Amino acid sequence: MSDAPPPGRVLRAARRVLGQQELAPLIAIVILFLVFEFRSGEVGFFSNPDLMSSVAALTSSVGMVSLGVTALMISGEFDLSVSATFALGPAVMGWLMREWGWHILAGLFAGLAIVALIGLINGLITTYVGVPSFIVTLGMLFAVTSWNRIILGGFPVDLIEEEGTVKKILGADIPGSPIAAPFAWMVGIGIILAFVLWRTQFGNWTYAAGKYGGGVARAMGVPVLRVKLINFVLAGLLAGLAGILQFADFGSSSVASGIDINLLAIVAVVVGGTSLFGAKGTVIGSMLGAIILGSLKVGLIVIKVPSEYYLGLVGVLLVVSAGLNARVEALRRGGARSTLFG
Amino acid sequence: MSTAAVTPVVELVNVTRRYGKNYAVRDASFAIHPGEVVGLVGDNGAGKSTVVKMISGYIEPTAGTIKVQGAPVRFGSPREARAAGIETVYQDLAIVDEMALWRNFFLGQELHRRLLGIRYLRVKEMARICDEHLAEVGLTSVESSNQTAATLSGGERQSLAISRAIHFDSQLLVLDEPVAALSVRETRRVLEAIEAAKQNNLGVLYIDHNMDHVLPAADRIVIMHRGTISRVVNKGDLTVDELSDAVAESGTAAGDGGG
Repeated sequence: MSDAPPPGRVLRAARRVLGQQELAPLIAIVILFLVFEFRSGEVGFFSNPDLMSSVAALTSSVGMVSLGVTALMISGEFDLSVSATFALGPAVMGWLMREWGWHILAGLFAGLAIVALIGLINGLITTYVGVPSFIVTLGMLFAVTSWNRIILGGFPVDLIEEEGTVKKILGADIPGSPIAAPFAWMVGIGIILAFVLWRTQFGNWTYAAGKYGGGVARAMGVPVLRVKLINFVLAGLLAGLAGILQFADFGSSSVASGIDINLLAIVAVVVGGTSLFGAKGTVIGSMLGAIILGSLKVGLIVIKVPSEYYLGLVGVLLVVSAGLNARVEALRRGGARSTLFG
Repeated sequence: MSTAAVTPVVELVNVTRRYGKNYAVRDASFAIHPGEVVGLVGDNGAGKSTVVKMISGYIEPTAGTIKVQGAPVRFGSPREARAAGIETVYQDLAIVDEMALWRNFFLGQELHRRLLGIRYLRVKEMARICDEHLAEVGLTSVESSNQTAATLSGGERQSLAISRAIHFDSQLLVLDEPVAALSVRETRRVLEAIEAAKQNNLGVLYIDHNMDHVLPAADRIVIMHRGTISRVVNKGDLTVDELSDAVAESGTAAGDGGG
């Protein structure tokens, strides 16, 4: 049919585009990029490959961690332990390679297995024992941080001597670009996860599990505990992978790696439009949120704003975007301010 | 009764649920037939919710039998009850506001195709089926099943949940206070959806503490007081006033006996 779409359809399509929660962070990125580009004089911002490389590097770690945190938050749970898991992945991998002479690939899989196990333990305690995930993962944050110190004994691990293909795939620059591989990993896994959440049964169940503690989903026969458990494992796994990718990119990792990344990931997730109360959110939004954080950090330096202001601006950004989300949601419900019970 | 010859969709036979020494429900027996709306009425604490929980698989009876289509069943989970054709619509737990209507409609029973062990949603098909069923229960104001459930009114949510039960060939629809906090117009909408369920030969168990809510819809009313069934009345037999008196009376009588 070559007929022009009826005006109602155009209007609806426009509303659908404008209703996308990714739109706000996307606009924010465009504004930030333009401001930094024109305020930075000759240095430039997006016209400067070195700066874009830094933005990508800063974005990819927070972004990768935020992917798992997003899916978990949609399912109604938190993971504060991701910053410790982020450091644990490379610690286990590097330690096995250094002390036991393991091949990098074996070290990689061992590291991933351990971080997935951490996620599984978080999930089991939360779902089956019934301790709130905030508490469980806060405890896990301390426990794993302590464990990292024991494994590493105060010294960083390194991948300096490693020169194989595996390391390149994990951490080298993408050929012909200034962007390091971890950014591509984040985008690739982000798109896959977005598809999973959007178009698979597991995705549908993940959203439903986040409403009323999974009450609706359970009433509809969804295995809520299993769905949450899988998302806990995913959060641990992706946090550990993010740590390992940064390890491969930077060539070393220490106990301090990933410190604060749990909170920065939550900022990225919320800025990306995901609800702290579950059932709503997208991983694409979280990646955009991570790009905002990365751009802000680099951009402020470029336009010569003292770095002390960075965290303050992150705080403002977090509260403002959460406030905007709340207002937009209220407007969508017909102007009424949402009540205590939603 | 004309329904006596038909096998009930669900029947409770001397069902008891005890918590320690306390009886939440004691020796409850009643049946719901296909195409019949049974009202379950009683004050807070009368045992209505416990009956609902047992029928929908959240808890098991301590004694007695629940029969589905004449065969005794034991539900280990809500999922099992649902598989047996019992669809329970809770007042607050029916719908996920943030999700599209079709996602709510098919939640837990999504149409999918399997590829490499992953279940991909058949989105277009689900949206189409959902659209058809929304019209059936009178949800004509809905533009598209792609809109989120947050756009629905209270009555429309109940209607959506009821249309879901009709589509999935449920045997019994359990409604937990479906019109509490709804306007008159909204209530009418829900009654329309209940009528649609009845036309599709579902048995309906309608729970409410308010007799006035149940009366327009119910063919038969089971009155509970302090865990026991104090009275069962056919709608044709009594007027509203007489029924309300019956609730009050049965309450006082059992209260005196138990006190």
